[in-house]
Amino acid sequence: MPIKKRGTGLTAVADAWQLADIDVTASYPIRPYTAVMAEVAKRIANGQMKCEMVHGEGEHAQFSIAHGASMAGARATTGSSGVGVTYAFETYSPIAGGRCPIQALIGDRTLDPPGDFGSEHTDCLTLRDNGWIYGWAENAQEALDNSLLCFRIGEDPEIMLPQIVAMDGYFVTHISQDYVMPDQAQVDKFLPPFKPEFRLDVNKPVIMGPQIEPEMGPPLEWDRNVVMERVKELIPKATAEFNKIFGAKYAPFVDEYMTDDADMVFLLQGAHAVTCRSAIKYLREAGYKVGMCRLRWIRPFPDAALQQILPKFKVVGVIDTNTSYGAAGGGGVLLVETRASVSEVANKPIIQGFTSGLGGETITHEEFFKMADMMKQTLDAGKIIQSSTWVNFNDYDKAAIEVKAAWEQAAPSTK
Amino acid sequence: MTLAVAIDANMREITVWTRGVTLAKEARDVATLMAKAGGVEGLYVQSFDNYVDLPDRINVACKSYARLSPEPIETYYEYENYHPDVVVVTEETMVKGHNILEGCKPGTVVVINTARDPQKLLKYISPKEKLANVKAIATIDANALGMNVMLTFDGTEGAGDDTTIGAGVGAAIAGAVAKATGYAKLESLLKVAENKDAVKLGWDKVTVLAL
Amino acid sequence: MPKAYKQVPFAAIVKSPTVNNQGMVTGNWRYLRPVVDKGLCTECKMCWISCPDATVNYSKDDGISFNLEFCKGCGVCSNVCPVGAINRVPELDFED
Repeated sequence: MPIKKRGTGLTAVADAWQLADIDVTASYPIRPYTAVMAEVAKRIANGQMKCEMVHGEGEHAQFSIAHGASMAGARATTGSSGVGVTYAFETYSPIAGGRCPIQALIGDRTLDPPGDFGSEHTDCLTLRDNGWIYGWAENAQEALDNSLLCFRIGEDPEIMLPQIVAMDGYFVTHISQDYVMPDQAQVDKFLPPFKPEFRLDVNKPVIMGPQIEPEMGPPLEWDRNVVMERVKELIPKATAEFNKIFGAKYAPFVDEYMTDDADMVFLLQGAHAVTCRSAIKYLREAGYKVGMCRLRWIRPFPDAALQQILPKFKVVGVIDTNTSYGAAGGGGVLLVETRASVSEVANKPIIQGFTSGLGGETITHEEFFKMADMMKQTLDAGKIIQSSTWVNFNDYDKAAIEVKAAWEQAAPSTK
Repeated sequence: MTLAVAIDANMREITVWTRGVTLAKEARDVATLMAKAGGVEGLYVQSFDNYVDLPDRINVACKSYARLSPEPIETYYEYENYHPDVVVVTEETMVKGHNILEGCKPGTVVVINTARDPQKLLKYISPKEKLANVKAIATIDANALGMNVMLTFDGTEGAGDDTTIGAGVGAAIAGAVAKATGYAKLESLLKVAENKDAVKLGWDKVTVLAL
Repeated sequence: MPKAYKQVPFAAIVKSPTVNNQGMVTGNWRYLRPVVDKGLCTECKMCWISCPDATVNYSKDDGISFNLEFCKGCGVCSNVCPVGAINRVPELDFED
């Protein structure tokens, strides 16, 4: 029987790992990832999980241990946050290029400075070019579900790619909420055991990760590219099957909210969608025809889905909870990718960027109202007013202009 | 634009001040018990630790929070209780040197775990200008009720707490909070706490000084 | 909840404190205050050398005193005192 539980995104992923019967997990503490290793250790001690837990001496070792375990045929997991994610950076391409479908839990965290441990998507987004499959969960339930979905997609013999279950640090990783832990029988139906075609086996010896010639590089990379395109086809199928078995209602790529008659939409990913929905309710009452599109995946990027969905609207406000300094258009990663994905589409909407929710701050109702206000001005003008806006710093709504001087004083760009 | 809307207008916020490590578990229990008791009574609830306090330092000031609302909580993903209705102080000395009344709403109830005369503690409480918002100060000498203090890191950092909830002084303080505020019935609290005698004693022995 | 950002200098570079770090006041961690009994104190300075936070002061004129703005009340001074001259008194027994 599925069990109703109250817990965090971290306990939910520990539940998923328990249900997926992982063989190896590699750990190293860093907020907000830490509790998942505490949970797994506890469950191993209590006899609830049979799993080898290896403690690395740092994140680079941690991901390498999971890499090695996966080569030996184990269903292996690991995870980290913030600067831990970037410390392990060297390992990401070899793991994906070696086609080892390990799973990492990343509770995102701001990179230093400011040495902040609050949520920001920048750490995990730096991995986007390596061939890992991932997207952000907005709550504990989705974290659990994404973990199972990721195993299923990543371990598919036609795919064999590593995955990340990403979630907003603190918001999803630390605030307890209700979720349902599915039944083992459901999981067994959805997720077959991990049986890779090749593994390190003394009876059938192979060499993994040998030195290759330059001429062999591009074909290998082409293969990784082809497989990533194949993930785009597998996601809708796997999601549909997941929904059927677990009684869930996930959209394959883009979760839409109040978009049927919307002129303007917020486009974002992760936990801030929760406050966004609440803010939209008030905005609707105030006469704003506004909705929300939440991305379920960042890699592969849901370009085909956005090409279908976005032309319905007049203005799209992309909310970046990350930084990409000097990026095209001045926003973050999401703005660039969203604009690129619909660049060739006729009657594409005006796409403007907002940067908000950095350094772990909540995007408040007031800020959503302010963004809606600026999108309304864009809508009325019929053209872009400001390519990208840092909320609270260079807003162009009326109230903001009045306090602009104060903000400039608070964050001097030159000295 | 400032949309003049009252978000979570009926939500009540309980902030529990405590000392890192030494009393962190008991304070978390106070918040957890109040939230759980609210849940028993059909409210929408939430309880969580402050994320910024770095509570792994012995005796550092840190906070646990509970929220109770008759409607679904809309500011679910906010870091802190910015406008507490109830301020609980699990270690009496904390009235000194900490702005425990920061942001408190009119009608705030302060609950202190102390054997001292609340009148004499008033002079320490800050910020001073918020004292006008305080409706009552309740005191409970939970330490004298013979309960233990549990030391555990389980349940911190977003992990589940598999130890018992409300076995020690936290249960007695929760009993006092429930009675002084009326936010939970005694029966609801008894249902969710491990040490029912402690809850009962806290409920019975609390003294409330109206200001 | 409207946000209030703090004023940040260039690259968050700040002047180093030379005596006290006002950005990290720890006196409010304390619930027992060390009090020295000058009659018993032999000025051996064991407490002075043992304090992990360097909050014990010594001067020829005034003897041992404590920097209460930063003393966390850990009690090491009281423990190491060979003559039992340092008492730990509840903080709320003091007016200040």
